[in-house]
Amino acid sequence: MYKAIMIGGSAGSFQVVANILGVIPRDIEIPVFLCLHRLKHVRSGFVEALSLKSNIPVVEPFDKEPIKAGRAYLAPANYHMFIELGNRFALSTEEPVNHSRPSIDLTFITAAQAYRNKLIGIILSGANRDGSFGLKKISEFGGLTIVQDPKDCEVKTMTEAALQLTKVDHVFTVDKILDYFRQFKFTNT
Amino acid sequence: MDYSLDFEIGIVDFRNIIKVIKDTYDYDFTDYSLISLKRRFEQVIQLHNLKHIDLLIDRLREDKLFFQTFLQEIAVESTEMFRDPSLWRYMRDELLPSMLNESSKLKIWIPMCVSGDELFTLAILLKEQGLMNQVDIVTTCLNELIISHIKSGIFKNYKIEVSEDNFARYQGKGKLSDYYQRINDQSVRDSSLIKNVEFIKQNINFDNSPQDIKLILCRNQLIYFTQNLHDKVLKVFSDSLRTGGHLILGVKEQVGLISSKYFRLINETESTYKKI
Repeated sequence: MYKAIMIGGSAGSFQVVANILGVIPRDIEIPVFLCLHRLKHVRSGFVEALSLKSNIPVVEPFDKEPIKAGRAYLAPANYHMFIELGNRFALSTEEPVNHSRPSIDLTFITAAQAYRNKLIGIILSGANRDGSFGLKKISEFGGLTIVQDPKDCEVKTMTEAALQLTKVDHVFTVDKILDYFRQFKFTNT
Repeated sequence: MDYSLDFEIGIVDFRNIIKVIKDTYDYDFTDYSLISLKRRFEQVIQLHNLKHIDLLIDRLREDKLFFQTFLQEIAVESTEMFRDPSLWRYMRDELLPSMLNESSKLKIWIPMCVSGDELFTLAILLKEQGLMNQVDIVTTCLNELIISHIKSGIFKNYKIEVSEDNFARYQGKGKLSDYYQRINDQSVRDSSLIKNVEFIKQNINFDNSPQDIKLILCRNQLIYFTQNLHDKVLKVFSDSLRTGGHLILGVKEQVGLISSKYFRLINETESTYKKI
């Protein structure tokens, strides 16, 4: 039923993402996109760290790379990551948005346009407002929206901004998010 | 300026803008990546307050000077100087020394130059290494506005901090601030660094590309093209390069399946290829 999962986060989100990747079904039939704020000059290490406990391969896509199911794709350092027509990635070096490159808003907006109501959007702990506009777009297209409970966040700015802008479907603690991923049937049919 | 993410143009308007540019100026943007180009159009529309698309289309059709400004504004410039410091270290410590062993001058082409960040970075590297006289640089740009902007040396202030950080990681000899001055609100790079650079105006069809090139530095520009145009341009690059010459792409770019017959990957981390 859903065709992709889109996760955005910043400060305090790394461990949550690692835990999600650790419970996600190995046979998940859809792609997972990760847009996480990161140091722009550190190119390596992030994928390796997320891969340690992950049930599915974690990769940083190249420009124009075709999107495949059953993989987690991490937005590369110092690039914006777009979901382009034809089920491919497109990268960009245009100006930062919300002081961020990659910008969660830009990845979310392009994913919302590509997957419409077949997208799950999740905002996790973070220290700025990036992602709130993108989550609103996912909601407007009829996708499912989930925000980590601000009380449960290491840094709550990002989740509070998202909740201000959008009436989301679920506000979940990390434990609830993990339960959700354990139980959900992510099939394409 | 800050652009609103809320302003969007429809796909029909997007196609109409491309059509009027093609019909009036014979510039064909059909094979540009849709999302990026559409975003650039949306930003220029906001910048000039032309939210009625008909106004933009009339202006593009009738105002040739505006079209030149438009071309400059939709081009995406590189993000900073010494982006990916390890690439510049690799060029300084391995790639350039291996290429300079040859008898003739090393001819380097920087295509689709927009901000000059990569050009000035290369020039600083060469100056620090005392190699300026052994290298010829040719730069191609879409129009005269872009050329004069690069020659002016003007450098956006928001890029300074990250460029300084990069330069420290590059482990240059001096300081990056040796090569630019703050003048009022602007930073201006030392234009003597590029006084011997040859600037050529080149349209988006890559007509009259320079020949006999040993190194092409084209990082993060082909990402704005579709696969089709990307492969056409790589054929142009292949024709321009001497056998054994090198091509450097952005770290998240690949030549791809079709063009892999022209190029062999020699450094995966720094996306460096050798022409077969």
